[in-house]
Amino acid sequence: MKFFRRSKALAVKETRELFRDPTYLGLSFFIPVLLLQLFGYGLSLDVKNLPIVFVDTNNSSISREYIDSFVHSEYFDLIDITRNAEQAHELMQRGTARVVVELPTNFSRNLVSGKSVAVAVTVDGSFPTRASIIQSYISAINAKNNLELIQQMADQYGLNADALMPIEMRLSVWYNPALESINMIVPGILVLILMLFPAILGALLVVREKEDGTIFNLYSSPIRSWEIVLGKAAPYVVVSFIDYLIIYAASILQFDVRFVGSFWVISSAALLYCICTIGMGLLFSIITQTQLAAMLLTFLLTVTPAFSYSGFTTPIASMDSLGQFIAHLIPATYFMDIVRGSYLKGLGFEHYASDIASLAIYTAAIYTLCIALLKKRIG
Amino acid sequence: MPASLIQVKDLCKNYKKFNAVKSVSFDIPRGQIFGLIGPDGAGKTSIIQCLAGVLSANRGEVSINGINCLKNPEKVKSIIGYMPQGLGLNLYDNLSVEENINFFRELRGVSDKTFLANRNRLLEMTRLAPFLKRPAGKLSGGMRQKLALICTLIHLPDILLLDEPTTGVDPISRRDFWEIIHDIVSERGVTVLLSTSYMDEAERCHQIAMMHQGEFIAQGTPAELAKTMRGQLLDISTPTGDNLLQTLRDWPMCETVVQIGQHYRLLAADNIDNQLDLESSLRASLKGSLSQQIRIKHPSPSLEDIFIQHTSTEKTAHLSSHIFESSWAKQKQIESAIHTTNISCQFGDFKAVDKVSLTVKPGEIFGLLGPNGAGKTTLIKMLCGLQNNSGGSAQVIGYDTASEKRQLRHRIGYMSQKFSLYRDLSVVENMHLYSGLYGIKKAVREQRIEVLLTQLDLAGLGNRNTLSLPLGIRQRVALACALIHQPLLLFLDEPTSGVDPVARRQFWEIVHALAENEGVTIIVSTHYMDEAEHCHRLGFMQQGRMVITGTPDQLKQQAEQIDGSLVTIESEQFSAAFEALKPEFSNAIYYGRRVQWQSKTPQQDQNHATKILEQSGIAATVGCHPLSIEEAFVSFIQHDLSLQDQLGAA
Repeated sequence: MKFFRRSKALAVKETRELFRDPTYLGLSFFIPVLLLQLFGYGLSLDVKNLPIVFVDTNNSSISREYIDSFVHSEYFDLIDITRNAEQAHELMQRGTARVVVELPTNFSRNLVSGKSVAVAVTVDGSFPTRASIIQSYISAINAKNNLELIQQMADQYGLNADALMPIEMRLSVWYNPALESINMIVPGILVLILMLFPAILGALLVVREKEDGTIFNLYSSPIRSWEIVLGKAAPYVVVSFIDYLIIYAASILQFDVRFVGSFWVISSAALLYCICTIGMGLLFSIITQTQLAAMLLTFLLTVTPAFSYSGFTTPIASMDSLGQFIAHLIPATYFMDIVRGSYLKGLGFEHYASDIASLAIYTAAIYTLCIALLKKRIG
Repeated sequence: MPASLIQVKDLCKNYKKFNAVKSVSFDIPRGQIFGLIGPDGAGKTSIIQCLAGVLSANRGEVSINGINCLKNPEKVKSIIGYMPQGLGLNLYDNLSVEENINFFRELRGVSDKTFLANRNRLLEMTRLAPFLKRPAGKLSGGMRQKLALICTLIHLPDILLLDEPTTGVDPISRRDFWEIIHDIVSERGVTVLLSTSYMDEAERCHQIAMMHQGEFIAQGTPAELAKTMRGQLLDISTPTGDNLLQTLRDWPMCETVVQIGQHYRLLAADNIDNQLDLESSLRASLKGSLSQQIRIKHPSPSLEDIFIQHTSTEKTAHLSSHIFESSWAKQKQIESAIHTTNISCQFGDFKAVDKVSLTVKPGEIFGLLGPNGAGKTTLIKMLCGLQNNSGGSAQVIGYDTASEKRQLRHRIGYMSQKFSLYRDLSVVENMHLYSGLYGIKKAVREQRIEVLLTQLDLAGLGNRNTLSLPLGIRQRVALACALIHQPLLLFLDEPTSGVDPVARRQFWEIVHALAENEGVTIIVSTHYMDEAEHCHRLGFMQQGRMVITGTPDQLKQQAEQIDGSLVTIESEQFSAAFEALKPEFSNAIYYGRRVQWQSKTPQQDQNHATKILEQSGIAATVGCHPLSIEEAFVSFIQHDLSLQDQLGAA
């Protein structure tokens, strides 16, 4: 039992140091939760309350009805209705308005007399995703207006309105019926936070002792490399798992994210993932000489690829082949699959077997490298 | 069983192109204290790390107890205790004293029985038992080092590898430290290999090896090394403190001479063996009344003398003319360079400086000594006008530190070996930076830089990157930077720690010239005793108070009145001598191969000791040693502490 005695001594020491150092304590518990709040509330991809300006030189009851159809939706906030097109464009330039809709003078006359009319829509394209969402909102509302007009016409001439629109589309959305981005973002954040913080903590573990000089205690004692790795990693795996539980609880209780899967499946995957990410940090800690270098390496090799390639923002299937290759090199991809699936789809354990196997192999490889590279020598 | 416990044969270690250790060989028998002694960068740490199994070597064999440390490094780790360099650097600051000890115990898998007995003994020896719950980060430097030693000894190792264990430790803790080492060596026969850059400390070892630039330059017992000294050493002083430097240099017998405080240490050529002939020759060469007044002593060579003789091949260039354009410091008529009355500085309840009254004459070299936290740094900050007084007043070179800070700062300079230089800049770039900071005009600047480079023996190094220079030269560059604005008062903070003795002597020669020729007043803050010897006058600080001031000679004499003179026993059988004497002289301690104690009745003690040793059949030399500055310091500080205790009790 001498082996575990040494690892245990190291683990006890690490835990004590963790609880006595405000920086480490903050990095372990406070900052991950804070980050969840910041991202959870801030990183919504839903576009609502868009400032809109109308240029209405027609100023008739029909034009006002058309304008009302926009204003009454939850997507637009009316800033102004003006007669002056230049004034509207100025509002756009200043960023006060994101959309300008211009109704021509002959708007009501043309519609009443059965002629088509052109409405000029100008959209602020500085954020492409937002612009395309605005575009689709406006098309939808415009289509709705058209539909009503057709209905009116049909009624007026006694025709069957359905005959004018032979194909009707009935769309239903699975897994996230309301298409709320929070259901996709919060689980994604869980994956990223459990990548970043365990890796940072792990990255400081060995290199801090190198900077302080205490590493010689370990180097010059009979403790073995694997005992050092075990003793150092164990307390921080527990810390990371507690982080997971906190974020999981917050996602459901605070952010009302749909969760339909099995708590046990996602939790066992999370434990494996934490062990893996701590190990990645440890590995960086073992191969560097300063805390700064270890941190940079961690940022570069963990959270950056995880953000871009794990499928957090872009589905992996829509990446090019290089992107897909990189995606399969990072553990976040596998865990993302399990997490998104658990939250939204709720499949059984067997559906995640290959993801979990990949994570397990990855973890084993990381720790093997850690033990092999942790030489109890300085040169 | 091998004859020697530790064997090192032809060890070489290179870092890229730099040869840190060049073919070093030595053996250490069981139960010996072996000292590796040399300046920073001599290669001491590399040797110790090879033995500790944490460093590989490029060539050679290193073994402990027959185990090859280079091939089977893991095997030696259970029998060694290794303490790396740095003040308590192996401790975890956030853990308490007790938790630190427990961690090392678990790491080493020490059984309960051994642990408890050993722990209590060590806590008692180090007097750390009352601080068990205190975090290691909140201990003083000396206490940290003692805790570090406990942690290294907790598994009862047979071999101790200590890398500069006493660097930066105050003298009282240092004395405790050595007593512990001597105790465990005599009790358990532990073998100790330690390194140090203090020459005076090496005398406490049984066997020493002097290292310089990766090589052993001499090896043996301290006494054997003393015999390798060529020439005659003379210690010359005058009652009036006249400057004899040039006169002594002109004496044909003189090989080298250095000024140490108000003494001159002169090495005379080998060709006159008779001490009396030498003395009369010296007196004859002096003019007028001086020839009668001077006092001449014949000190035994210190390890520093021996080191210098082994390493310096050519005579170093002496200062030829003035360093400053005009000795304007001398022309400014001020009565005292520093005059303070009861200045204090209080942080909350803590009195960092407590009613210090101090007067320093212009052109004086004044040393401020005291353990870490004694208030030296705060006092200096107050004298520079960087820290406000909470009481009293101070005049520095004629300016009031409270109301005339700006004028003051243009007239003072500051040099600390550790923090002064920007290491990525070249020598001249560093000097340009400092001239810029003090607003020196370009035309004046170039001339001053040239003079400083020549006078401080830095010619030709102007474009070198500071980082690439050896420590001793870097320290002269730092001094040059501090002198660029020609200050009237210069603060030196541990200016020569870790520097090799040759460079150190050269440095002090410049400092003496600054004081003598330019009238610069110099304040040295240090806890290295060999730096203290160079000062004209010293002040010992403790808990914010100035305990005593005086010349080194005065302080030594006064200390003898407090605790008595030092009785010393030198013998080949020093352990047997110690056993025989300990019952009679309870305060006897080991000091390397010596046994010594302080006594108020030295003559009586010497006679008594001689008798005891004769009866036991131990051949020994019984004598009386003058106190060193370090011993004087310890006496005063302990005397002061007991006075404070009495006051507290009353």
